[in-house]
Amino acid sequence: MQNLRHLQTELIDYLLDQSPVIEAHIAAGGSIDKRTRLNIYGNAYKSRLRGVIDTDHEILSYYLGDDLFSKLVDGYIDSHPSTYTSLRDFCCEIPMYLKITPPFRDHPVISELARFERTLLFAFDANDAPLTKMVELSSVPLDKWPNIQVRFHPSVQLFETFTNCVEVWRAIKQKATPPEAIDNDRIVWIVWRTIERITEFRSMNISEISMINAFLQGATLAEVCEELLQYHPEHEVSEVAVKYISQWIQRGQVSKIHY
Amino acid sequence: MDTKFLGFGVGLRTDHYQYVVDNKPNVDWFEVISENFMVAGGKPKYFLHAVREHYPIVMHGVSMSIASTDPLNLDYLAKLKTLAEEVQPEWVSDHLCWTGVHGVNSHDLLPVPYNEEAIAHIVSRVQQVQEILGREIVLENVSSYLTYNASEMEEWEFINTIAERAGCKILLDVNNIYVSSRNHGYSAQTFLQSIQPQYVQQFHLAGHSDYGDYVIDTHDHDVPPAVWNLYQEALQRFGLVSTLIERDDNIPPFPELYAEMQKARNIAQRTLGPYQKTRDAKLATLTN
Repeated sequence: MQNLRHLQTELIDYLLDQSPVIEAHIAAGGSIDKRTRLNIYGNAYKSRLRGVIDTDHEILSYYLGDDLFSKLVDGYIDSHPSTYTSLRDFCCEIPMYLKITPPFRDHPVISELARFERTLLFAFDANDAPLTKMVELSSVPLDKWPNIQVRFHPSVQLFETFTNCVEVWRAIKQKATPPEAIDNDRIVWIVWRTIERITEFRSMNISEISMINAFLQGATLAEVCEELLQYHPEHEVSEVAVKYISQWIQRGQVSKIHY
Repeated sequence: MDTKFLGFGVGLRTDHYQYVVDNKPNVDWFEVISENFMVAGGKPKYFLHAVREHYPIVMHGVSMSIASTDPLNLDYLAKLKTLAEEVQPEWVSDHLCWTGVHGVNSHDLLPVPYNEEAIAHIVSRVQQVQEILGREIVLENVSSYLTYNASEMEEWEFINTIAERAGCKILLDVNNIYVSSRNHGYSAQTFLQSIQPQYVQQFHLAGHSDYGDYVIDTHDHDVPPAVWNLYQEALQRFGLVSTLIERDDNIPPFPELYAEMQKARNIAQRTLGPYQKTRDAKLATLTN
C-alpha cells in the first residue's frame, strides 16, 4: 500500500499546490501531454469547489460582483482545502474567512451576508419534527401553566447581526437595488422552516428575544415571566408571554409544549 | 444480490423533485445521490420519501473513496447504512476510485493504478464496507485522464478481478468507457467485450464534452451518438441490464431526460426484441 499512498499523496499535492512531483509517475503517450492530463484534474477540482460556493451563496455572489466573488473563491479554496465528506460543509468557514481577510473584512455586511445564507441553509434541511397546535396549549391545566416549557422546531435558528445584511439580502432576492450597507444596533432574527417547507425569517423585539432565549435554555413559563418584568409592567407580563407563545405556535415554530 | 432488472430510469435531481411528485412520470426507477439526503430533514427528505412511495430507488454515492489509503470513513458509512435502512434501495453503488487522502477531500473521482497492490487494498476495503452495510455494493468505472506508470494491467482486467475477489458488482458507465477510451487510445469495444457479464448490475448513460484531442466527462450534455452506439453493443454483450440516464449539470426540463430514457428503452427493444418487463431478471424473458 506504500506505493499507492505515495501516488495519492503526490496527486493531492498537485491539486492543492500544483506540486509537479506526480508528473514523473504519469505515463507519457496519447494525443495529450502529461501536463494537460493533470490540468484536467486541477481544473475540475477548482471548478467543483467554485460551483458549491456559488450555489450556496447566490445573494453574496450578486452583492460582491464577479471580480470580488472570484477573489473570495480563489482565496478560500487556496486557504481551506476541504476536509469534509460532504460538499455541503465545504463553505462553513466562509463567514469567518470574510470577517478576517482583506478587503472583505473592511465591510462587515459581507461576512454577515454569508452567515445569513448559511443560517437559511441550516433551517432548510434541519431535522423534521411534529408541530404543536394551539389546542395543545389551551388544554394545559391552569395549575400547570407556570411549569410550561417550549420546545422549538429543529429548524428554528436565531441570527444576530449588527448590520443591515438581512435587508440587503431581501432587496437582492427581490431583484431590487440593495440599500447602502450600514452598521446597526443589535438585531436578532428568528429563521425557521414553515409547514409548507418554505424558509422564513422575521426580526424580534427585546422582550421576545429574552423570552425565546430563556425557553431555549430550559426555563419554565414562571421563570420567563420573571425575565419579562424587565420590559413590561407586572399586570401585562402573562398576557405578553401567552401572545408570543401563541404566535410561535401559529407560525409553526414550536414542536412541543411541555409541562 | 441477483442481477435484478429494474428497467429504464433517470437520475433524480433537485430541479425535478416537484415535477416528479406532481406528474409521476412513467419511469421504471430513480437513482438518487446518497449524499444529497444525508441531512436531517426538510425538503430533500420530504421529496425522497414522496418519490420512494411510487418508484424503486437505487442509492448512488460519490464519497466512499473505496481506493483511498486513508482509513475507511466509518461515520460516512454509518450514515449511508442509516439512509439505506430508511430508503430500502434496490442496491447501493459508488465509484471505483478515491476522492482524497491525508484527510483532504478533492470531491473528485481520482484514478488508481491498475496493479496487484491496488487490487489487494480495494478488495479488502470492499469486503469491509459490505460487512458494515450488510449488503453487496456496486462499483462504477470512472472516466480517467491519466495512466500511472505503476499500472500493470488494463482497466477491464482490474475491474473484473476486483468484482471477482471482493464479491461486488459493477455499474458499467457506458459514457465513461467512451471517454476513457478516447483519452487513453484504447478500444471501447475491447473494454466491453472483456468485462465479465455476471458482474454487471447496471448501466449509466450520459453525455460529455469533446475537445478533439481529449474528452471530459461533464455529464452536462445529451447522450451523444457514439455513446448510444456503444450502449447497443453493451446490450448485445450483457443483455437486459437496468439502465439509467445520468445528468449532473446544465439540467434540462424533465421531459427531455424522459425522452432520452425512452430512447434507451427503444434501443433495447430494437436490439434484444420485446421484453416482458419484470423486476426479476430471472423472469425477464426475451421473446425472440
